[in-house]
Amino acid sequence: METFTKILSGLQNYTLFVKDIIRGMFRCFKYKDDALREMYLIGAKAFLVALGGGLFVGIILAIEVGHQLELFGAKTLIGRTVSLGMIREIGPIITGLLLAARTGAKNTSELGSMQLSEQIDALRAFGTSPVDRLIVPRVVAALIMFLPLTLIADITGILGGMFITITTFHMDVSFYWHSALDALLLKDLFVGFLKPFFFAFFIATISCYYGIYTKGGTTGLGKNTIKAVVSSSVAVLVIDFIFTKVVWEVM
Amino acid sequence: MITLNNVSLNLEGKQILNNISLNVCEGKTAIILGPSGAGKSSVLRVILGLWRPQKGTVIIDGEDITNKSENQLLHVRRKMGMVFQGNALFDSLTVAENVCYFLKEKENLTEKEISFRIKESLEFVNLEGTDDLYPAQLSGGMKKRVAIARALAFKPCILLYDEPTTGLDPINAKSIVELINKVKESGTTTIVVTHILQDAIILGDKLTLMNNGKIVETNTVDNLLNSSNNFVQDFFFEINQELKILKHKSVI
Ligand SMILES: Nc1ncnc2c1ncn2[C@@H]1O[C@H](COP(=O)(O)OP(=O)(O)O)[C@@H](O)[C@H]1O
Ligand SMILES: [Mg+2]
Repeated sequence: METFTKILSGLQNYTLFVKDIIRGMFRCFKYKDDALREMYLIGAKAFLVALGGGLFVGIILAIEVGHQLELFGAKTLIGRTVSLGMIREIGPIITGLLLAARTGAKNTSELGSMQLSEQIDALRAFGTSPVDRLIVPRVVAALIMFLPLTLIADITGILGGMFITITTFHMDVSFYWHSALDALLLKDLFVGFLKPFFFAFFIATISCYYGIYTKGGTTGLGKNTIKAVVSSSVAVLVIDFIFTKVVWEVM
Repeated sequence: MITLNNVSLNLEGKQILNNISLNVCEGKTAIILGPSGAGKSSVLRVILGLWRPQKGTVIIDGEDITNKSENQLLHVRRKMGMVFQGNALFDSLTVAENVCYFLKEKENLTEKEISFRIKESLEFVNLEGTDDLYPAQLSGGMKKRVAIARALAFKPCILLYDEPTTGLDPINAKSIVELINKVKESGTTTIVVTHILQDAIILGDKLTLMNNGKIVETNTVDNLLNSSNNFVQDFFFEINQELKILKHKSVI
């Protein structure tokens, strides 16, 4: 019962926090320098993470699927499976999870240590809103940068699949591309490209929430960083599930 | 300028402040003295509106801030500068960036004016040439100076200091006390919170003594030295002894 009320009051605080952030977003141009710096830190610097993540998942997907399809003599479908899988599901999910860890840990530990050393109080004391100055730039940066990162993962994943198709299953490149591109519908692109925005919003707000409400010294900061990474990863999976379900039922 | 009326504050079920009343007129200095845990920092937090008291009212520059929302408080807070006990410098920014962090916020200053303000503030605290250092590269006394420069940079009419000399060596402590006196001379309304009696005596002629979240006595140093209150006697015991020894020696 006690944990239940705790979860409820936590959710309530989070909702109020998100409300403040959404209000602050209308004033986001005031601190565009901070937003640009965050875009560099959480976007440009995560380029290799997205690239590596996408590439290896694409390769694994092609190998696993390829061997199964080979049994039915349907190797030409490898391209289709990899491209659909990468763009609709695996590209966004793997980028989401990697960024939940990377961006989540960064936001929570930064804001948490600022909270513990009274830097957040200093901001408030000098008449600056910590939400506007510290959190909105992080949320905006995530919203802008997650789609390009997901695209990088998608593309490198499909290229990885191509590499496997050529080397392991000895197929012609043109077959692969034909099969990969033919299968894609506008709907798939739409779903695949919409997910990153939701992931970005929840990862950024959850990790900032845990950061700014850190208390209890170093141990508290450690605990909150764990909570932030775990809850944002779970959020990524749950949002993805909702999307998939809705897409199959409605579209 | 700053008025607290019967302020009581509870945090997590614990009474932190109990019926505190305080009045600091424009351009005057108040010294709040007390052992650690007395609630001195909490008084400053209440004045800044960082914590909201359950009872009583807080009036800053004629404006009742007790029930103001966080956004409504922003412009009131910009009248105040605060020097935190742990300095609370932004450790990912350089000294110069720390000093101008809030300047960009407040007024529409040009780049040139901002760099002039940075220079002016750093000169005032005798820290010329440290612009590009990071807080981690500074000594304790220097950090405190940067914190003071940051608070001064946007020329607030109220300055609050939380234990400005705690943790500093005597030489640095002395120069910080001199710095605070220099700032006072420009007519800034000042509140200094400290547990160090010597500094309190140099900085103000009227002291407010706090213990256990309550105000014990507000009086001049002379009257406090002769107070009949047990707590006041205990707090002033050491300095009374020193005075007696000095008197004794000068008699001989
Ligand atoms: N965030 C907090 N939550 C609950 N209690 C606190 C908090 N901060 C300080 N206190 C308590 O408030 C009392 C007064 O603290 P403080 O104002 O910092 O004292 P001082 O500055 O005089 O040393 C202390 O007993 C302390 O334990
Ligand atoms: Mg204190």
